[in-house]
Amino acid sequence: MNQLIKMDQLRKLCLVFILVVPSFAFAQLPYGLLEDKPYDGTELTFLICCPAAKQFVAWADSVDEFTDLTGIEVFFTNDPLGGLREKIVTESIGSPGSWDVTIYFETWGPSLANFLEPIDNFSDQWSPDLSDYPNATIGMATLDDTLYGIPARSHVMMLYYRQDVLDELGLSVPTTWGELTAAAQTITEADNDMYGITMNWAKQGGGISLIPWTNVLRSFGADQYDADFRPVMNSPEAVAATEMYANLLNYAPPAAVTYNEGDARTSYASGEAAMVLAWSWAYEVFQNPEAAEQVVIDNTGFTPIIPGAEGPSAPVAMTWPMAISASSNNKEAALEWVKWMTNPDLDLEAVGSGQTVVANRLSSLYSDAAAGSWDSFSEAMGDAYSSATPLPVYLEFPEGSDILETALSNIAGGADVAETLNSAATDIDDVMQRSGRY
Amino acid sequence: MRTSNFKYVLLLPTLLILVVTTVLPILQVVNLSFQRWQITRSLTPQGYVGFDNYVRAFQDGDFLNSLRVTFTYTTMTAFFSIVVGVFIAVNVQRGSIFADIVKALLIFPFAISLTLRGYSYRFMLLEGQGIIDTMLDFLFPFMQNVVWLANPFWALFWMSAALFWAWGPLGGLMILGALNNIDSGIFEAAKVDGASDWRVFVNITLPLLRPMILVVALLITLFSSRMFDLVLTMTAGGPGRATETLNYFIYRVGFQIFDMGYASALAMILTMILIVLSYVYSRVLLD
Repeated sequence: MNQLIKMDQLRKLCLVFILVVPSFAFAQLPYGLLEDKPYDGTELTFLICCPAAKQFVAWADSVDEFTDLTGIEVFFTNDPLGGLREKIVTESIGSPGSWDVTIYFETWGPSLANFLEPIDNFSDQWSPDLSDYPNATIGMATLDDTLYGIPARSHVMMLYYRQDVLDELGLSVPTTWGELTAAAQTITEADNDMYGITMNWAKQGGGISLIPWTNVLRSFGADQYDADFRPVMNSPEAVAATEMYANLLNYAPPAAVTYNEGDARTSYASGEAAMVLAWSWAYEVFQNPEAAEQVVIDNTGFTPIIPGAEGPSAPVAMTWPMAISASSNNKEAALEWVKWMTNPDLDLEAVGSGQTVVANRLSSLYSDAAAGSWDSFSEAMGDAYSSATPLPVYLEFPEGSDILETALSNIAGGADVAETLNSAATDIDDVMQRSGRY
Repeated sequence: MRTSNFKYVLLLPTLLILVVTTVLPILQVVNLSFQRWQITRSLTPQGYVGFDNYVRAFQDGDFLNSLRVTFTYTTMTAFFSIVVGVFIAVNVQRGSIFADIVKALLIFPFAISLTLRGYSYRFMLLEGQGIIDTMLDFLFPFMQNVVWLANPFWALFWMSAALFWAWGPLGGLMILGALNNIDSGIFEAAKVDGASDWRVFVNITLPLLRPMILVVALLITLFSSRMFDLVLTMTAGGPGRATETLNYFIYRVGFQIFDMGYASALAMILTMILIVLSYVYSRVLLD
């Protein structure tokens, strides 16, 4: 009897072995990755910047797992942010095939389109679930109805403030630009060795200094361009918005006129000022004991960018689409890397583990894991994306943004707002005409 | 005859390398300068446009501004470098137990990379935080509110300071070498004739140092008129375009706006300027 039972167990074991082992051996790889490692041994060059960004650290940490699954090796180049765009261009022209995958600011998209292989060209091989992304970021990765990349690092503008400072001075969280100006003034004039707000006015290239300003413009019902890309940054509304924005310099550290984006974050994190307009990812800096004072970590509050007089405004958002080089010799292998980098588990794991606050997918932003790691911040980001709009995306962006950054730099130096914006509008009009836009 | 031809054969490898690494790229830039090539629109040049790119340069306010900035910057840097250099040379030559140590230290500023120097100066000048700003605020309280890199004049001055901080001592070493070669009997004779130290310096030392000062001036001029690194790291050309040198402007047109045809024309103009400057200096030196 015992022997019969043993035989029966052995039979079952064999059955399990026959059924289960092959199913493991031929299990489909996740995220649409191709089985049987068809690109085993391929080496990919990933043009990327900012190695210290926590999300990118998470990406680098995942390379070994990707290599195990696909046999593809990936090498990160880690160029400085300021040099990434020119690296993409110069490598593409001077050494085609020298890179395979990159990430880029969506505003660079039109000027880089010649060097990118649209993701849509791989539609017969891969159908990413785009419904899990905010419409705003998918829109930013799309040019002329063609998807060029998958949003891989997305941000939306937020207002960060020191709750303890506001409480101490009996101030509420500002809900209009007028309230924000008044709060900044009160904080600066209080005897607490602190400025009301810190800002980034320095020319940094790539249109970085235009981002907070554009938020203010839109709050006032103005914008940089009209629908035909004629410059309207000198409209009465835009001038009023810019004057208000420049007036905030009275309540900012004097050096704010030379601060770039990173300097402004550091300024807030060090306790120099009580408020800052910054990207959503900055929250991880303001919660990092190695980067921020403890009092800042304990008391930083946040809110989506301030509504304008006309009602709720659209905060500026941005994304870094991940895209494949048009001159790559390994486009299919590169697609495997894009599938891996933009997979939902990696997105969720990075934000859910608390490693980074950056999440691209709605399912990650509204997940319990994200809420567990970042309280309500991820949800607030998700909500902000629902009405977010990008910076203007146009072919002449390199010249247009340079003219505008120079104009803002001059305004920070005391130049007349209306006159400077008029001059900028004239210069941009020349650029647009030379470009044959109208 | 065979010997005289053989020397040209020996020169051939060097000439070949020179042609491939220098002459051909320059010819390509010359060729591109007559074409329209906006990389954002086409991966290849879009056709010849004659002298349009050159004409456009002289109608472009930003180009003319960059010429003005480059001229001011170069003049300022050459002047301060020579003043500092002569001061150092004269004082070190007088000799002291520290003279040898000082001579060794003088080379150090030059050994620090321009990029590092630029970032260091940027941080040292940060309003309310940087060490230079703090010291100047203490010494000159009336300048407490000056944000150095936000002011067009001071931004250019400090960008120049970051350069003459290194070129001054290096120029000093070069001038010191020339100073040591002057016959000391000349100075002694002047002293015997009752000339004051100042008079000896102005009427004897400086004229005898003129050739070396000109060499130093030539080197600084050529170096600073191509300034790029300090602009990138200290000011990005700002405030406004107050510190945008010609070389930085060319970079901006070529690698930020991606207008390679126009950038090539600008590069040729810069090359012409440098050739003319070198010629003028060499004529002055030979005279």
